[in-house]
Amino acid sequence: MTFNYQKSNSGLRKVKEAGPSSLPNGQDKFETIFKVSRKTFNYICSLVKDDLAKGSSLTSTDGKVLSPEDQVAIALRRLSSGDSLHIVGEFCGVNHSTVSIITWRFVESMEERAIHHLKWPDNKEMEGIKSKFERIRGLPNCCGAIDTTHIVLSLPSVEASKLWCDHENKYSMVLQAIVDPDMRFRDIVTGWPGSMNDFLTLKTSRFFKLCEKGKRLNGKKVELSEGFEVREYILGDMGFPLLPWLVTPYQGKDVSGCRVEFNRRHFATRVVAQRALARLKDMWKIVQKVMWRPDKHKLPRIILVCCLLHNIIIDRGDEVQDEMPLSHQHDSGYRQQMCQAVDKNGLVMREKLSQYLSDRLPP
Amino acid sequence: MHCPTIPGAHNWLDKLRSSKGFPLDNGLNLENFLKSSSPSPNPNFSGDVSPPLLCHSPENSLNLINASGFSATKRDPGAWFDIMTDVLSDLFNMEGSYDFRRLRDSRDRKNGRKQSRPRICALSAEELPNFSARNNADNNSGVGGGSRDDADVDISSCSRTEVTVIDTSIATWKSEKVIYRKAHVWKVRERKGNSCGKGRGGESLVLKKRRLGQNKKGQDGVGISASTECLDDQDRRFQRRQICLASPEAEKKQAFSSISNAGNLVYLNKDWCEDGSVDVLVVIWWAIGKRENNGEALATYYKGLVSLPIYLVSMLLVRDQVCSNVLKPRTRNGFSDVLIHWFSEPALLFK
Repeated sequence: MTFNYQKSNSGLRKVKEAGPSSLPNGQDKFETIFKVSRKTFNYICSLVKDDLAKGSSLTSTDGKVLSPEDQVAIALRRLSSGDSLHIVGEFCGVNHSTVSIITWRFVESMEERAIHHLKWPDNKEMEGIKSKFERIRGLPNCCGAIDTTHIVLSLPSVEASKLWCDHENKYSMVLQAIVDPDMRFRDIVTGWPGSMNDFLTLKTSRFFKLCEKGKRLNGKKVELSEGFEVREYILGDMGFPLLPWLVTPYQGKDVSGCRVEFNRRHFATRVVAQRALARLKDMWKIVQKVMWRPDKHKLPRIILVCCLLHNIIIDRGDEVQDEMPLSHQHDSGYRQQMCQAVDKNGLVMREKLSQYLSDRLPP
Repeated sequence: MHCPTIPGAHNWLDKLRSSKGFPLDNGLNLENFLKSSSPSPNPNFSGDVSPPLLCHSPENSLNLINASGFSATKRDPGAWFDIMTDVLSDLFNMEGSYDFRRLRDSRDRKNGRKQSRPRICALSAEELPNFSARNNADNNSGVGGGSRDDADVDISSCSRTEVTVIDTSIATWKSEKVIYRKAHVWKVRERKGNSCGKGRGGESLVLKKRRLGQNKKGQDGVGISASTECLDDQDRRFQRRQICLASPEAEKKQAFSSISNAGNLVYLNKDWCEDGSVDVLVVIWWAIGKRENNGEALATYYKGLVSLPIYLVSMLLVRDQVCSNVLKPRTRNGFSDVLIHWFSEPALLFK
């Protein structure tokens, strides 16, 4: 499939036909503008082109009909730059309302056609995930890392209720993600208002219920020492409760000895979740910038599609991810939340893990 | 509060202290407590008793214990402070009691995550909303168990906010919830009519229910009619059923009889429906108690009267989507349990 640039005056055409110097800010590469390689771009087009070809045809400002590939390019530009509809429209040579329509068509289509890129791993896949996590810092039987970030909103005064006001006095929407060692999102929850903290977001999630009922993270146990097995679990920071299936670090200043070492390994392993969220926001800036009066029913779906795009880049082995910086700061201006809820079985499990790592592994 | 009989407990204060798990003879009376109301500057944070508001949820089976270890007898002064704070809080309903802990925690805890030099946000019980969520009849809502009884807060006095939640662990990963909030009390409900969210497999909730034979009453006491099937309209959001127009006369009479016996008001101007200005008849019914089958009977009745496609929609499904000024209840003898309206644009209903 080729990318068809038909518009005589559009920025899309400039990308293809003009030299690098004609593009603003040195944006001389396809990947810089669309945040995906041509290979991945073509794959995305193959997913959604049928949907985008349906319905009324959309045209550029000079009257040319926009092909599905053009529409994908415009939608990707909108999601990756986070620029306003007007700026994206001007860049692509289409009316701002066309940008809005195309973006939403793209989101709806991706929800349906690309949702298989975000799923909880099956047993076979999980074995590989556990193995990769263990290779990081030796934590056995670990199935994922969980973290939460905030999508900051700017709300009109009539909607600016306390509900959307988080603990940093910003209006925001919550995104909770469980991530595998390749920084692939495996489970997300989003749409809840910013006033919900990490624990509440987790508690309202289906994942929590499934785990509590023993229907998730219920795979093969690993024997650490004689008479003690460790079940499947995920790692989370101090904003989450300590549970038999969710291991958090030791808290407090008095932590010492093997517990310090455990916390170090714990952080090194769970940092993939922070990096994934940081990369998500860095790559798809529509969820990084302060959203100006968003439709709060559409925003979760946009966030989901950004997560899908994030996973597609990983699944396709897109080289663009190699050029992204490995930051783990995804929630700038937000303090670490603290949750004091602990489960006694979670405590026992953490102690055993800590002891095991202390005894068996080099620092 | 039930206080068990403690051997050696002579008065109410002793019993109270014993019930809270600390010895009677340690010199820690109220005066001492007040004198030492500034806890040690460096308490072991992990020795805190977990905040009850967060954790005392029977549904999630969290067995909360002292996080520093397994013995409750080796508490440091900071822990004693917490205990006394809890006791006084219990006794005098001191809502601000958690302020002490919050202030102390915010001083003592530092641990980085999202910033190189993060400030600590130690959420106290006061800052955490009392969260209560309830599943509807379905089990796919993805809403966690409630943390306290719903019945103690009048939902009508709460602010109401609709949200769209994505949860990829649910087969229908998109759902619409309603958050009722009053101060720190939250309630979450599945939004009515929110049963056709797209998701993996694309099977709607109601269709699934029908397939599984789980057509039970919801917690509102309002049944979901078995005749309400889930189809996609343009928004794929609502369920509708197009009913065949032809109907035997006997069936029509029987249906009408059924309606009359039920005491419902039948409100239909046939001319309105067949003057060409109306494309479709939407029958919205509101079942109460044992009358949940009346909606189907109504549709059966109408299909013999008008040559229009008829959509039968349970009020249960549209109650929250329809503007109150669009649908006016027709009443007779002060009783209204059936609403009938028709639109040339069914989409008006679903906005």
